[in-house]
Amino acid sequence: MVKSPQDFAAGLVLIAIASIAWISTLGLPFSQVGGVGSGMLPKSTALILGGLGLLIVVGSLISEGPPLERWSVRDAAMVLGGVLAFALTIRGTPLPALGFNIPALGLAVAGPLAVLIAAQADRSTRLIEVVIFAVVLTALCIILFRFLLGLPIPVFPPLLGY
Amino acid sequence: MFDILGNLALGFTVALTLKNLALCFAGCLIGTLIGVLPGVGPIATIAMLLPITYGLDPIGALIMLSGIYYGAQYGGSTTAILVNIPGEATSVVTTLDGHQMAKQGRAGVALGTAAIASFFAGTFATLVVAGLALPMTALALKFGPSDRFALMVMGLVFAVVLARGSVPKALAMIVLGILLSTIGTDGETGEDRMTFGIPQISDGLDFAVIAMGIFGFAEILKNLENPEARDVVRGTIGRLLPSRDDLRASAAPAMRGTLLGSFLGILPGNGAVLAPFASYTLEKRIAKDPSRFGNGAIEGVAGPEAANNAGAQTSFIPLLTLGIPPNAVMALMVGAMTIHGLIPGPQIMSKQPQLFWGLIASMWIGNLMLLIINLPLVGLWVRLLKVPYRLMFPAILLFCCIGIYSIGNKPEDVMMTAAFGFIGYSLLKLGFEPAPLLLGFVLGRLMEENLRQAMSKAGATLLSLFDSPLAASLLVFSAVLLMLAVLPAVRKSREEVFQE
Repeated sequence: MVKSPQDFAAGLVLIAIASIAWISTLGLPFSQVGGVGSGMLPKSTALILGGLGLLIVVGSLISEGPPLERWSVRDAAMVLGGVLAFALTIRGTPLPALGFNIPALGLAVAGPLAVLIAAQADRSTRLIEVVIFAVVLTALCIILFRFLLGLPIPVFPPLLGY
Repeated sequence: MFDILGNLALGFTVALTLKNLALCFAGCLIGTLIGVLPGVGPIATIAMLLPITYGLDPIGALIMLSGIYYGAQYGGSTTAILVNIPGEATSVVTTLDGHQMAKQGRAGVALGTAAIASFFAGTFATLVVAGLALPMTALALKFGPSDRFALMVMGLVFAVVLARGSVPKALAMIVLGILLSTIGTDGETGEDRMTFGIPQISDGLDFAVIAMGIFGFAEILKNLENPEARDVVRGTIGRLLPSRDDLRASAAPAMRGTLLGSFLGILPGNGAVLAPFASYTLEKRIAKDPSRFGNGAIEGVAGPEAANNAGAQTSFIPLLTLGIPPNAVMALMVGAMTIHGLIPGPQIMSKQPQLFWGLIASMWIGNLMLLIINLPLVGLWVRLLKVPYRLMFPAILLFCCIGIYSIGNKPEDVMMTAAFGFIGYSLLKLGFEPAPLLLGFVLGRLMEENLRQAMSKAGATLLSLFDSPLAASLLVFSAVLLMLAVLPAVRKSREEVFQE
């Protein structure tokens, strides 16, 4: 029986990664005329990784270890969702598959959007406080990054002509 | 000796220009500002601030990044003393006595002692770096590709042995890092490797994206999950300058810590992380009354803080002379150097003496600035520590987003970082310590390059790696070390070291 569920899962994940790497580098030569081929490092590391995965799986059957940890799916989704929202709106994203495009909104909109979505990950977030905070923070970022450091980050939606 | 003085003089002419002084100051200040935030260690701080240095010239960028590094280290100690939350492994020890001192109303003295001990250690370590630079570089120039390959293997093995937690898991992280480094078009043959038809990764994964995803975003997720009870010291900070008695008590520990840290920092594979632990153990062993330790002994702050700072600085030696980063922070420095077209290694000193010695001189200036900035600004850091995490983390997140976007003005990079944030979170959930991954990622590319050079001779086989006596002995030594680390007896004593 599995005595260390966390290690068991960790080992399986390593084996999975190693297999994907191995399969996708099948066509690459291990060695070639004049020495090391493009496949040597990826294949050998994949092999070692798989071996370590196996070792960890076997170890998890023998010795006691920590249980699997709970994942805070909602928190992770909110934080990474905020980041994704930023990425999608800062310069706009064409989505031909869905038949519409996300407009380019610039930092002035993408910034508060990212902050507001990410802040939902913390249950003690207060709406009014975080709205004010998001606006002030974005304004400071625009001053700092765009005007003081001169980074070419779009600030306003192009519709407004900036 | 005169060589060193002449070189340092050259360095100071570079580091003392108004622009470089300003960059050093800005680096120290911003580094401390971010490093002081609980749960944000030096790796995350540097990863986060890396993009803002892209627009600078190489020397300015490196000076600013080193300032950020020292600042983040010092900020971590401040948090350790005031809030009892270590920013990184190296400031764990400072929480023991530093926070006790703070509770006894001596927070100011603890901070002051830490700053003075760090400054002393930094001054000494700067001299060590300057003194060792010439001989180490001369040595490094004699190394062939197989020697360099063997040195990197040894560095990685050291990193595994010194990492916390299980040895196979730490090893797996390094190997995974190497594997990730091979993604993208092969520089030599032009073949696609594991790109799965995604055009964005055909040039390989971006180092800053991995670092920020795994250390920036994943850390946030981890911190959100464990809302630590923040125990910010209430009441007054008290006076900052240690009294005559305090100074007398901390002088010898600081000196011993400096020596320990300077030595451990030079070792390949993150020896610096051991320095504060070693110093604390040493001080406790030789103390007349060991029971004072853990109850606010000033020696327990002065020694480890000095060791911490000395190690942080001498870990630049393997990077600058051999071109081999000894830990994740130095791996970030490699990333920064590569972006500016610099290849770390022995040729830097001969080809770019201004850069090399300017950086070393700026180390000392950075230490001086930390002393000047930090003591008067303690009040500001305390106020910053009271900002609730619910506001802090969205702010960090937004800085990261802007930073990554600015690397190449590509929103795809931001998405990729989110993906690595998820990967980093999964790794943490599976009990992996992700710092070795970053080291493996950076060393992976260097290793492949050296492997290719070593085996490009006609009739070369894998055995050619053992051609030079140095390479052969390093590889054998690494193998023995790794074997020993896996053996149960050593594993036990290793655990004891980390327990203390």
